[in-house]
Parts: sequence; C-alpha cells; structure tokens
Amino acid sequence: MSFFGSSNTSSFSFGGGTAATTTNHNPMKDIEVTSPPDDSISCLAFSPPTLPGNFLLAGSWANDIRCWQIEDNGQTVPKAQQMHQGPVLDVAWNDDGKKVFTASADKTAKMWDLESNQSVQIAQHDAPVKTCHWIKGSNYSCLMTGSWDKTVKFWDTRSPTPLKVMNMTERVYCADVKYPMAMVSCADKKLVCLKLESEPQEYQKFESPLKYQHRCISIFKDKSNTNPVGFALGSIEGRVAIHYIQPSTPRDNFTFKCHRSTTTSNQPQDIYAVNAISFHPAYGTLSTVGSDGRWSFWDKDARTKLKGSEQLDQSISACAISHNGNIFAYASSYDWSKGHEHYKAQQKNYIFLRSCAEEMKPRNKK
Amino acid sequence: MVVCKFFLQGKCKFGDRCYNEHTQPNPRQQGGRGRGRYDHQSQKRQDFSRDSPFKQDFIQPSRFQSQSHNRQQGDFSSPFSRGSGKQQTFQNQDKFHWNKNNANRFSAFQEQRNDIQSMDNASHEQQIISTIQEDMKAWLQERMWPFSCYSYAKETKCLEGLPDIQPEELRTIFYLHGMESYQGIIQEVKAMYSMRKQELASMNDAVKSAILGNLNSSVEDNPSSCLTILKMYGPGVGFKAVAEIGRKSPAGTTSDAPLSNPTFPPSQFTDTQKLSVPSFGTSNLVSLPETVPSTPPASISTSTAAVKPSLFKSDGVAKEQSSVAVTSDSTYTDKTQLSEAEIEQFEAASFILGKIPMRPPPIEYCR
Repeated sequence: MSFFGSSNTSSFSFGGGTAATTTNHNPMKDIEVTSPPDDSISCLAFSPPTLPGNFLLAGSWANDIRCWQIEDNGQTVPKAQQMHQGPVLDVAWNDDGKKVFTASADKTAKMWDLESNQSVQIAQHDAPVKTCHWIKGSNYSCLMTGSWDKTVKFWDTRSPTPLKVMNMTERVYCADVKYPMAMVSCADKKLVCLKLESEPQEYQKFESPLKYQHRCISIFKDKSNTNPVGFALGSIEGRVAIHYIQPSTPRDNFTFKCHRSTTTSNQPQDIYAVNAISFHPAYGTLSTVGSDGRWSFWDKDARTKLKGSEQLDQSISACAISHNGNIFAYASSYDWSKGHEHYKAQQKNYIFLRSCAEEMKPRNKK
Repeated sequence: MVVCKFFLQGKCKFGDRCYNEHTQPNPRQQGGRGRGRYDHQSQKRQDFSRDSPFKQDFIQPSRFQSQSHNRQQGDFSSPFSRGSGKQQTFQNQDKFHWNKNNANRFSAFQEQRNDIQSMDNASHEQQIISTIQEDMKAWLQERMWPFSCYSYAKETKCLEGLPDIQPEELRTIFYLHGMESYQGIIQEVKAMYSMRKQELASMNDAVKSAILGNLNSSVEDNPSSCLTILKMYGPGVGFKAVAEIGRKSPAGTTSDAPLSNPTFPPSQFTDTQKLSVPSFGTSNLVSLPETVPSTPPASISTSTAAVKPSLFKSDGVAKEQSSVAVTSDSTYTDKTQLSEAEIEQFEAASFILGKIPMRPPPIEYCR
C-alpha cells in the first residue's frame, strides 16, 4: 500500500531500523522514514513553527518532492507528492507553512499549495535552479532563487517577471536566508552578503575563508537568537569555516576540520566534502553531514565537537533540524562525490530521524 | 618593563608618553610557538581541551599556519605577518592599539625588523610556491573531490587554470545526456585538471613566474571563465517530461539524446575547424564527415565521446594539449592542418612541457 504512486517498493515502517540484511545502513539505530524517494535526496526541510506539528519535505533526483507528517511517537506518515520535470535541487517552506517552493534542474521553481495540492511554476532561469529560499520581510515577501546561470532572482509569486535580478560573477552553488540577511556563495569561492530590509541589496563581498570549493552555507544568529551575525561555510575539503560578518576580534573567525578519515603518519587522509550544515534553532550549535557517511554535532562557541556518528554505508547528502529543535533529519544517499562509477541506481535511499534536543545542547556552561 | 594594564583595556591616557610598556599581549603569550596570523587558538580553548573528556574531539586548529607560516621563530613573526600581509584589515582595528611603528620603541630592534621583513618577502614567495606544490601532490592522490578551484591560503585569489565544478553539475549532465557523452566529458575534465595539477606540482620556472605574477596583480581571479559548461545544461538543453514509472535509471533519458544533438557544438578542441573528425561508428551524436579510421591506434584517443561536446573554450596555446580527439588518417599530420602553436613547438629546439602537440609532426620536419 505504497502511498507514493510511482514507487514500486512497498512502504513498511522499520521503526527502529532493525533490518537484518544490511548491517551498516543505519548504525545509529535512528528512525527510518517510510517510503523514501527512489533516487538520491538532494534537500530536506522541516515545516515552520506556524504550522502545528512537524512536516518534513524531501526533494530528490527522481524528480519528486515528498511530504511526510512526523508524529510525536516517531511515526512518519506519507502525505503528498509533487513532480518536476527534472531533479529537484532545493526545497523551502514559506512563513505560514501553507506553500512549498521547489527548485529544480529543469530550470524552474514551482510553488506547491498544500491545501489544494496544486503546483504552479513561478520562476524561470536559463540553467538549473540550485537554491530557493523564502524571504519574509517587513514590507515585502518574495522567493529568492539562485541558479547556475550566474543570477539570483527574486520572485513575487503572483508575477511571471522577477522583482529583481542580481548578476553574480559565477554560478550560484549555495545560499541561505535569515531575515534581514542573506548569503550567496558561488563558484570560484565567491561570497556575497545581501541585506534584505526594504529590498534585497548587495551588502558586502567576502574573501573566502577556505581554500577549496564551497559546498554549503548556513547563517547563524547571535547568542540572544535574534539577529543573524555570521555564517558557517562548508567545503569539499572536509573543513568548515565559522565567519562573523563583523567580528569583535579577528580570532572570532576560525575554521575546523571535519569529515576526514583518521590519519596514520604514513597514509594520506581521505578527505570528504561537507554536504550540509544546519544550526539548531535554539542552542546555536550546528550539525554537519558529509560524504563519508557521518554526521556530527558541534558547538562553535566552545569550539568542541558534541557528538559524532558511526559511519553509514552511503554518504549523507542532506540534513535538517525541526523548528522546535527536537528532531534531526539526515538523508543517506549517494551524492556523486566519487563520480558515476559509484552510482548504483538500485541502492536504497534513506531518511533518518533522530531526537537531538539533548545531544545538541551545549555543555559546560561557563 | 611592566605592561600597561590600561593599554590592554584600550584606555591608557598617556599613550606614547606612558612609562609602562604598550605591547600586544598576544605575541608575548604565544612566544616561541611562532604562529602566524591565521592561528585562531586562544588560551581559553587550550584549557578547555585539557579538561574536556572529548580531548580528541576538540576542533583542531587550522592547518594553514604550519604550511604557510613556517617563519622566523620568536615574537617578531606575528607582527610581521600582519605587516607584510595582504587584504585583511584587522590590523587597523582600534581595539588592538597596535600600530607597526609603535610596536617597539627600542631602536635596537628597528634594524633587525627591517632585515627580517625584506627577507620575508622572498621567503614568503617561497612559502607560497611550496604550499602549492604540497597541496597539489596531496590532491593528485585523489582522496578528495578533484574538480575544484584552489587558492594557496584563505582570503587569497584562486589560482588560474583550475575552474570550479560541483558534483551536482556533473550529475545533471549525466542525467541529461546519458553515459556516452558524460564519459567523454569526464575524461576531458579529468585530463585537464590532472595536467594542471601536475604542472603546479612540478613548478618549473615559467609556471612559477606566471603564478606569482598573477597573484601580485590586482586582476580579479576568475578561473572558471574558461568553462563552457553552461552549454551542457543551459538554454536549449532540457529535461523532457518522462513517465513516472520506470524513471529509476537516468540512462532512460538517453532516448532524449537525439533531441539534444543540435545543441552540441562540434568539438572545440582545435582552432582549425577544417579538420575532419573520424567517427568510429558508434557515435551518432555528431554529424561530421566521416574519414577512414585507418590510423594507428596510438595516435587516437581511446574515447570516442571526446570528439563531441567540450566543457572548455578553445584557447589557443594553453588548451592545445587537451586536443586529444582529433587526428588525420596518416602517420604524419599535414602541415596546413597544424595550428601555429604546434608548428612553433615542432620548430623549437626542444618541447616545452605542457605544450607538446598531441598530433604527429608533418613529414617535412622528420627529414
């Protein structure tokens, strides 16, 4: 009784991940989401606080976006699905939780109205749309889409022409928005900070704190959790940079290594990309997931690692944390980090849920 | 001398007249370790690591300082790295009260500092070069994503010749165009990157001066400008609506390949378009005149797909070495078909590494 029509796998919930066949697909014994997508998961997003309960969205390379309701007892109920013409690369909720935005490699972004279960195209680019984020400003609201056609466009959902087009020097690789700040990172390690108060404007260009390609970016807020003050930037080099927009001392900004294999003196290290970073909404601690198939929790203020996972048998391609900070979701699927040779179309993809409220709490309060 | 405690708070009203010493606390505390300006370890963090049960989990300090700042030991390394450094503006921050000229009021140290500084510029360049070489050697061992841009340190320009390609871009190309085209592109991309990395790892004089010249110039870095990857997924190329069932394998979209044929440009490897490209029977994606493929196999690249779409602009000399695909149907190339750069190489006394022509010389040179 598969809820998602196209899937040819039946949906039975594993509950505690007790499958006897594959040993490593769930070493942390986390809850498996039922009816996961058939191809690699590119993005995960939890519903905003305005929506009662927890809903999880996942976009995948099978051209679909699936939505589950996550109940308090850990049960995951598949709710709905939409399709694109090409792989879905990013997904975002709007502020009231009634609409979902999806960005796809078919060069469009669509708006999915959950109540009517209809989706309409609202954005168009000349190349695959890599990122989409909803901006809720004080006097305007719009969708920000970043694409490999080197532009960032802002769309009012009611109009086919964009409100604003910003040209970037290179293809947009990742972006994040936390009003009133937005960060866009492009190829060749270009970093741009935008301010969004009355209209989106470029605020500052940053020199990259990293040596290699940028992979993911996430904005964090200050200790009182009101204003965005900086961002965490992950690279393909197993390194994350924490960068404040206006540091009080230069030593506030630092980088740390993660997602690398353990070193021995004569063997070179395996270095894995950091695929996604998510910040806990309340604690300010962050989670990273990498191509090595591990996830980790970090405390950036104490500069320590809070928890690391065992290694999964696949890379972890996406992660998300629920709005109340209780659930950490991560997707185990191939991220193309080793090219097409390691791509197995039949390999199952998983989304796992973990209760993270305790593990992500900072320790040793000084 | 006693360090002025008001200066440390930023509140000393005597300033230069102060009887106590106005020096930065940091170089003193770190004395002997000689860390460069990229060090972000604080005393606080060190203490924490001793107490913390997660001793080996604490965030390791950035690797950059050991590689690029193995400078003269002692207290002076810190102030110099700020002084001779590049873009960072932190040294101007008031909070530090640190000013290169006032850091030391003792003239005895003045001359020593100048010597070290001039030595520093030359050795600084040497540091850069050796950092690049080490990084390239490690990178060539293929334990990391290979298709990325690179700079030798943070907040510095990217090096030329190493564009940026994301895994998702390659995956999109694979899903759009299917295995054959994709493999050809990957071969080309891999060859180009490894050639450039080897060049940088070996670092002969020409490469060295090119790198240093480029780093010192104020031209914006744009290593990806040589990519024409937009053609692969940009305007004119798209996914068709496919049936939901059986969509599992992306190879299923190869049936769409004929649709994307017209958008594939003919091979952009060589300058001379009048070359005829042998088609090996299997490739039906490019409609170019066939020639008899009777050439000795050694002179032809193994991948047929390499003949087709290219991700890189043909760029005259620099890209000449990536022209692995084309050849003529005799052992010697016709002189009229060679580009200028290739002719230059054949006529030179010896080949320049990195510019060796991929095609056999014309018979005229062999006599």
